Amino acid sequence: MAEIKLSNVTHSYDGKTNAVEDVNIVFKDKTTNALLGPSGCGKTTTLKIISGLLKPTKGRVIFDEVDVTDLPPERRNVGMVFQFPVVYSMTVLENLMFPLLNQKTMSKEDKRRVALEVAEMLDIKDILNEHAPKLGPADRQRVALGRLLVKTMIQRPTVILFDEPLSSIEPEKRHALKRLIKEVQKKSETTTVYVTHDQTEALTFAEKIAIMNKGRIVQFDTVENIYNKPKDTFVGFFVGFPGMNILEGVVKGNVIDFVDFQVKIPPGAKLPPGLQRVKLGIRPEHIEISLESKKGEEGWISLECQLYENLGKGFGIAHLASKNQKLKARSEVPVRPGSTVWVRFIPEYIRLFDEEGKLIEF
Amino acid sequence: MTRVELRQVSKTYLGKKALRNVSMTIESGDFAVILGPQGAGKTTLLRIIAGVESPDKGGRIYFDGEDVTKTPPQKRNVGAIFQVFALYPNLTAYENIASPLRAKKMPEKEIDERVKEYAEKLRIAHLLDKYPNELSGGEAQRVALARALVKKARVYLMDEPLTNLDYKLREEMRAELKRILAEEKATIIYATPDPEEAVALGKTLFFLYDGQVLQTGPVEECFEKPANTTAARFMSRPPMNLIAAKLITKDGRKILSVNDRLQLDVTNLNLPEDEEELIMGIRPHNIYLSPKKENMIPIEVDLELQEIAGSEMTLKVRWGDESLDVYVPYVKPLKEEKLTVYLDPDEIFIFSKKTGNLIDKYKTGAKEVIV
Repeated sequence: MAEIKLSNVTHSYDGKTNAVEDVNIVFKDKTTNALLGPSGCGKTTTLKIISGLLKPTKGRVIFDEVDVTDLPPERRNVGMVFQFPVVYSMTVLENLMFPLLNQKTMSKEDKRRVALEVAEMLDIKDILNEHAPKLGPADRQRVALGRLLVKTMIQRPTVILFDEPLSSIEPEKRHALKRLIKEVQKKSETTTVYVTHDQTEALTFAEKIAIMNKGRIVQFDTVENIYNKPKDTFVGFFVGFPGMNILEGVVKGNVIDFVDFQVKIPPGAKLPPGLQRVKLGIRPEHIEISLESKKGEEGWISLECQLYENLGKGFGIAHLASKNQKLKARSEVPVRPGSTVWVRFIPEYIRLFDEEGKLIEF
Repeated sequence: MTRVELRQVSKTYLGKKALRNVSMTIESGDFAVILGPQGAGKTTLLRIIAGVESPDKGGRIYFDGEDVTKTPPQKRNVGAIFQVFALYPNLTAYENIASPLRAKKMPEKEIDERVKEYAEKLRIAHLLDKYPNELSGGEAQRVALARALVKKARVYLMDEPLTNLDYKLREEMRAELKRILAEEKATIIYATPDPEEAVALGKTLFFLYDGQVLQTGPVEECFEKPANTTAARFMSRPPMNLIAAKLITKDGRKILSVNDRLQLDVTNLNLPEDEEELIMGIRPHNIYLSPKKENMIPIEVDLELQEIAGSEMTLKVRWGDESLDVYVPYVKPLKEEKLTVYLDPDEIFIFSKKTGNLIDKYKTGAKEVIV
């Protein structure tokens, strides 16, 4: 139960390159947060710095105004859920009761009752007497989550850190666990940080998502903002199936010229004066597509279809190209490779980025 | 190109049946997808076609009508690409790609031509001098793919080649694979647990489950009309919703009572007389947040969880005793806890509870839905 703050945190393992660089972030009390990014982006390092497993080369870690940078993990009162579930070599019930071991004021019956309550919630009531290490990964993760919940009842952790808790779980069993993780987040009434490379998990388990790339936090924002207003082209491309199309063009009056076609600068967009080269971002789901000719109609561009991938859920992805440009668009009707199609970028969804890829806000 | 046939192929490992009497024909030049969950027998099937494993007694494998059951792998002219791509760490990308041709003692000039041809195709011509540890995951995989294809085999076996890639690369490589394989004059047999990959890449589908082929046909037709509840759940992601239903008679009309909350007039369907217990199926993407057309069926549900992916959401909702998935093809997190969602009546499937087999699709008749 705390506000977690990282202030100017930089970490280098080898003294040469920075795994994490100048990270400044505040996870507000009782909020759900995620760290999302490709492998090697620094998210696990950041997590270790919060938990105390790693002391940053530079910068401070602050829990509710208290500087904990020099405190070891055991003195930070952090709850952890790991990628490879940790269970103790005892029965499931004993695992659940373990955090209560030193509670002198609690009767054995009370301890049992608490453990059973949690077992009920996590759907592990029928395996209470099994030896925990013998269970499959999904059940072991349930036990680990259960033990954390029991612990939470005695002493609320300052923060719960989830380190890719679903990665090692069989895909068909992830589903049920997701609901449980949500439940644990709710019941624990504390700040949570969920680390993952999987955008679905990040967007599902967090109100605010910090997207990391090359050791830096690129954007820390709500799901809606990350989807609608990516701060840069990396975020636009990284979030989305497929990601945002990014096209490079040149400003010419009130249009952007892409050699093979031009796109009108959306109304209201204020480009910095003197800006010449821009990047246009548009998501595949924000492109209108027509198999019939729209020749001469405002805003429509003709492209050749190179490939169509049906996705079996009511639409597919058409890979389209002109001589110099390539983009992907969603289409509910199958598009034949080699055929010409017409597309229109829905103006309200067009995003513009400068040459470095930074969003031009308007 | 080769036509590949399996006749009554079974495989038993330590008393456990990995394949049960599988017979299948893959036409020359086809792109066949073996779709199935982990442990369905996909890898065993590929290994038997490759010849590194032999079928139990009685099973036969034919290439273009010729019995190759006893032919050793190296004489079958089969190329294989597996989930884990291993490159020789001490060889450059060029030498890695050339290695199968060197083993064949092909003349140097021809080797050079082939390596360059495939490097060009896989867009790695600029990487040929690099060593594996200097390549990114995606680049290394392209090299491995080039090494597999450079042999110009008549049959390619691919065992989940995209599974180990992170999703951005997977997305890119899926499209790339489709483009490259279309140019190869070869029969492709591709195993995957991912229905999206199956429908995006394949022509003919073999749905393998517990060592048996449960459904086969053109991929899109199978997805349109899954033969049973197992296939139906597996060929949709998220899986098709399956809801308990009862057949009752009311005023001389046959009514399907679903979840005690919805009644569908099914008088005009051809339902078996003796089955009262049925299953209604509807895919998550055929349930909408707003009515797409006139005759959509509204139902009241409670929102339990919204799973948000980059460009889409899956809502887990509760409808009485049943849990349903609703697919939303855009991102806009919902605030409300109670929702009305709309079922597309043209996409409702009816399965037998007894056998799990598809009986019919619901047809909206003269008499509309009675709620």
